[in-house]
Amino acid sequence: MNDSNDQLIVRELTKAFSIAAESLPILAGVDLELSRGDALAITGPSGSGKSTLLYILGVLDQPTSGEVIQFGQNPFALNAKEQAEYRNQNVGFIFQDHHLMPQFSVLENVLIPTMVNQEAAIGAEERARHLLERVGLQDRMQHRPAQISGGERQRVAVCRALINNPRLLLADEPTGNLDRTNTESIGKLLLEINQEQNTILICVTHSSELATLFPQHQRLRDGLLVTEAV
Amino acid sequence: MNQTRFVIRSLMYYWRTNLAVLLGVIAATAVIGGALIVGDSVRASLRQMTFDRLGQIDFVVSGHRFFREQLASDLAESPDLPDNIKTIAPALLLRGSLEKNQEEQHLRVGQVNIFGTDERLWSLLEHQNQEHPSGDEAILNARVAEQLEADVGDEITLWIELPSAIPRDSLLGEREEQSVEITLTVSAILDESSKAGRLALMPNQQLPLDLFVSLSTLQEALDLDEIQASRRNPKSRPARVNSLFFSSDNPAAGTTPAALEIAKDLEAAFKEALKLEDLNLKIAPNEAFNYLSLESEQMILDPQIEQAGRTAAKSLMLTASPVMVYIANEIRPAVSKQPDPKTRFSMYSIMVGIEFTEQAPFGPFKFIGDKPKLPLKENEIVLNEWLAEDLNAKVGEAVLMKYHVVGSRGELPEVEQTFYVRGIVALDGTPAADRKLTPEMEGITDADTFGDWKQPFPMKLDKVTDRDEAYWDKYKATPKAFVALETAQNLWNSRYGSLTSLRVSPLADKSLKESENLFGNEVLKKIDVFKMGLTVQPIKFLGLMAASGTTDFSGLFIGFSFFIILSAIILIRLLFKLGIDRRVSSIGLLSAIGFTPQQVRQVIFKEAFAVILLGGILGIAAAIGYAWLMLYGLKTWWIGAIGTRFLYLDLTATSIIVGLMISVLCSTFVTWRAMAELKQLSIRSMLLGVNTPESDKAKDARRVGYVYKASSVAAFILLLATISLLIPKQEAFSGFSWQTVSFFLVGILSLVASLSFLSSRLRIESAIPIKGTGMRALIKLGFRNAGRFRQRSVLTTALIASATFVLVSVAAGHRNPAVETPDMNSGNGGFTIIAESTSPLIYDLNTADGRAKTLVNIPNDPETHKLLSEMNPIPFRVKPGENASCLNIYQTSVPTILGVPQELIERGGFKFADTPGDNPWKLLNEPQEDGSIPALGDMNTLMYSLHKGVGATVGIPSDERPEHKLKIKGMFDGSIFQGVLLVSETDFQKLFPEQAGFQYFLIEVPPEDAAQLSGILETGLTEYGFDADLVANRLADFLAVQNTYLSTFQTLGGLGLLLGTLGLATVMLRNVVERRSELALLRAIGMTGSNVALIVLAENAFLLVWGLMSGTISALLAMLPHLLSTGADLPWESGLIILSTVLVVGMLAALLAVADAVRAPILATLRAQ
Repeated sequence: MNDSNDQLIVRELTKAFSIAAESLPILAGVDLELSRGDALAITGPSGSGKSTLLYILGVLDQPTSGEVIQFGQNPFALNAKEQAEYRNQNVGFIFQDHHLMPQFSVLENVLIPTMVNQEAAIGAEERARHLLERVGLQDRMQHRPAQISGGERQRVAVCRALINNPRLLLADEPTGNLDRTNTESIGKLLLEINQEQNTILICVTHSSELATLFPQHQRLRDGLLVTEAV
Repeated sequence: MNQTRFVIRSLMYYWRTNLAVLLGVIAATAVIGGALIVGDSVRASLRQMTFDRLGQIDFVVSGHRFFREQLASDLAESPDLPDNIKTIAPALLLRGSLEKNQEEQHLRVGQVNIFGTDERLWSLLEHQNQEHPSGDEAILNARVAEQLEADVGDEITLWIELPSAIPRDSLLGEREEQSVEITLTVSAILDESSKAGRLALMPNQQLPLDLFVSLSTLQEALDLDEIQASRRNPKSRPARVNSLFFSSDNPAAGTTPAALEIAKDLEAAFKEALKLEDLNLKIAPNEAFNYLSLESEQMILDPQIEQAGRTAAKSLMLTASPVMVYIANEIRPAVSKQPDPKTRFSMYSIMVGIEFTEQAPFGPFKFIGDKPKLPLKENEIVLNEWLAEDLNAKVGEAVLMKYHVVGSRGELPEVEQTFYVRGIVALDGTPAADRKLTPEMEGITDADTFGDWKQPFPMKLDKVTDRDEAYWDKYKATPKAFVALETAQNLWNSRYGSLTSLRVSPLADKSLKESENLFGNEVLKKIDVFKMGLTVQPIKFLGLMAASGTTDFSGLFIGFSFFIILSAIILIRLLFKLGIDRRVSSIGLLSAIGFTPQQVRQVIFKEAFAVILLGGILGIAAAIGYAWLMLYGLKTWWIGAIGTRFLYLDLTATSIIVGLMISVLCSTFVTWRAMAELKQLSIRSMLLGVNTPESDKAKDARRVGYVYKASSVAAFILLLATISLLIPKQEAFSGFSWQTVSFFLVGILSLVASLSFLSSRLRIESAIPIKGTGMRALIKLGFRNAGRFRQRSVLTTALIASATFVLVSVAAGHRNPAVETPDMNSGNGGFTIIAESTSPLIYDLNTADGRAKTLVNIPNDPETHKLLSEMNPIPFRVKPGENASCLNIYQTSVPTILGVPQELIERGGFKFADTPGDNPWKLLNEPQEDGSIPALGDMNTLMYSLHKGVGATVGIPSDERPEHKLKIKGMFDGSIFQGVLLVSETDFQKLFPEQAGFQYFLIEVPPEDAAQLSGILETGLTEYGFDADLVANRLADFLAVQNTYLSTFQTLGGLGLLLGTLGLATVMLRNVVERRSELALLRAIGMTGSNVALIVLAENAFLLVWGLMSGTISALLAMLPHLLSTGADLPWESGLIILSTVLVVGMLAALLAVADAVRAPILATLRAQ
């Protein structure tokens, strides 16, 4: 039996948006259970709620109902400040639009999450350099985001997501803006890191090529997760 | 990576946005700090002007009393003199008028300060080694020289009132020869920068009118020079002055609060050095009857002196006997018993009121026949045996006495009084033969015959009989009849006092001479010099205190610059928010990766604060520049507000720091508030670049719609009610009628309606349907875009509309009284001419007799006589004081006080504010329970100069040492009475008995005759220094200050409006930046750059014009009653220039946004989004 402290458990998760006094359900009772080391790709059509689910799992959005237990803890029971600390220490998020801050160098962008985590700040730069070397950006560390390519930016975003050694790695269309080569490269990188760091990796994607790289693959349909054959 | 590095990198990367915020903070700091520096500078300049004005003079004694010049030397040698006092300079300080005849032209200037000076006063002034005047030399200051068009070497005439020991409006006062004419030659002109040329005792930033002449020349001309006793003229007299100027050897002595203590010590030393003759007093020994008589050169003992005499007598255990003598023109039997009345009367007899006593030396009287029952009753009289014989009067018979009473306009009507003879006293060898009961009066008591009398009233010499002359020859001014003292005081009392002498017995064991000295010293000890108007003033210290200013220029300029500050602050907020909006996804990222909300705000705030702080620090330099510019404006464009060019920049650390702090705090607050808006956004929204919280548009639109409907309906109802006269015309508050208030509310409501209408329409997307083609369709698209970021659009439009509303309202407040006709219930009170005279007029200009006695050299033609007889002058008595009008920016405490004649109180008129009653003038006659004296004053004077309101009191002679209190009972609104307080003439005469005659006049005359009448009066009254001006001009002078302030506000408000327009341009830029992809798309689908520019410009123009128009129309509606009134003087031209400039600048600034939109490459922009 798996230890719940290493698990992500989602039960009957729903999410609805209010539009002009009407409720628009997006997630209709999602159930999910993953353990550390698991890697799951979620696919689905546009507007199916993939990103919404990911944002909820990343504690960036609130569920309408249901239960989310991450590593033995319900992060939605925390206040805003505690949630922020929780995200910083446990969640790594990779966005489709990498959201690199243009005023900082590649290295600095990776280091930003450590600014508010005193524990992680120890040896952070070394770790950041190591991560950047790991993703092949050892020569780009002092470059600004505007000076590197899209694939490279996304790798920087991956490094930033990993800098605080998160237990949960979430990727929202990480290759949405990338070509096929870069997509494969990023996908493999995520999976390697998933295994190396024993994280739970969930990746939301439109890309069937990327999804096929993942050991688990579920499809979000009518607000519910449906397992796809791998 | 730490926060400092994070902040520095962000600052550098977003330098454009940060620079814009920085400029906004610089502008705010410049304006706030600059305004505070202006306040400091005005105060410092006023302080410096006080130093310049007074030179080394620290203390002064100056008043209406003429004391010995020698007093200065006596005081200098006094052991009681405070150590700090270095120099004591005696001088004459009087008011006079000057005339220069130039070809056909007579140039005159009145109310000139005449300084009779020698080297002692001159040495205390700063005059660049100019020699003091001597002989007939006159040194003019620049203002006098300018008004007289005088040059060195010119001959000028000085008219100056002759000092008169006897009050002019008393029976024996000199009325005819009031002034002396002195011809002088201009020897030097002190230029405008000369400090000596600023000498004046009253603080005023405007250059005074000063003339310096030789002290000895002036003394000689005014009969105040020294006369040595000679065989021909055994009576000597000392040279006299009316002022002493003191300087101290320690600057702190005169400029710090220690000056108050030194002034007290100096006053004590001054009192010690005083002699009786300094107060025109003497103690006359009466060898024949062995008593002393305390007498005054003014014939009547001042109540203060009487009190001092009585107290001194009591303390020395002396018997006192008060005496009141008067001249009876004629005494005759009440019922003629003989056919020939010529033999039965006595002319010009001296009457005396005393208390009969049996005790020597004042008694006993020797009665012929029965001794009357004493004391005498009110209608009882005792005759001396000479008069009884003349009248053939017996005890019990009635006699009729005719005597003059003194009228309030210098007239001397003769009245009659019947007495019953109760006794007849023997003359020779008895106290009844005491000729010294009548104090000495040169020209009368020393005259040989009645024909030699030098009396100021008309005499019927043809009625003087041989018996009268025989009596005069033998007994001179020995009284012929006696009444009770109380009766005499009731009949002949004057405001100057009620005794002509106070007799006291000598000390028991002392000679008359020894008693004279002892009694004299005791009297001096008992005299309160302060009550005698001989007080030592720490004039420099008081001047420096007054330099704090009546107007807080810091507050004033902060008010004037309000819209610049508001615009700068709003601009800071808009620019900062623009920066935040552009970085909203980065901010979302920080939250996503685990920054707590507080940590997110902290890093952004640190960045903003660094910019704000730097802006504040750089703003200090801009503040100094702004202050310099404002001071330059005050010295040039807005000179009408303060009337002096002697302003300089004064920097104080406090103002700079306070300005910096206010600006930084305001900027910090708005940036913090802008950041707080982020709280309403979810992290996900921010990551998606959403920077505006979603709201319930329908609900908001309904709410704003209600506001629009409610304000429109309220404005309409109020407008209807006002037009249909349902709203009363009565005053609501501060001089504003309910109708005026109602119209102003209509204006405000229409502004609210206009803005809420805009807001509600911008919320409704269908309000401006997009259809059609061409320019019209594009413009509509632009209008529609204004609703995209509705909050920003409404905010900036509201700013522009509000600023325009205030600017136009203020501009509409301009008045030009020159076009106002005399109106009883307006600020001019129905009067056309206002006049002031340097010397008082005693007679009534309303009567032919008064005019005949006063006016000289006037054309003797029917037209002139008609003009003079048809004018209606109202004369006021004047106690000169500080100019408390808005023309003086020093803090004033005791302004000039006018005595209002009963005829004006009955007439009424003028516009009042916050004052009850149909004729508020009558409040002046209402006795006050607390014993205070009711007074009226102009609202502006009371509120802004004296800082007092209705019900407040003003101490006389000062709030610090009040002898009396004036209670403000009402306020005039925008009247000619700015700078003065008014009390009833009756109260005035009680307060200031020494002020004879009238010096302030309001004249009712048709406006078309005003110029001609002014000329006639000025010519005819030259020797009085009569200066007439149109009431409209005087009001215009006062209003010039108000209008200048309005113009200042208009100018600075215009700058604020321009800055607000830049805010609008910023909003445009922000909108364009945020819609860059949309605009790129428009171009991608075939629109040209011009099409896109048109869309953006249409949006900008729509909001700009909406703001300007709604502000202007609402303001004009609010000010409609004023605009429809006569005297309204809306500066259309400057107003249109400001609003047009705003429109043009606003559109030009929007072009920047257009350029940004059009320049961006289409494909890259589309891809980037």
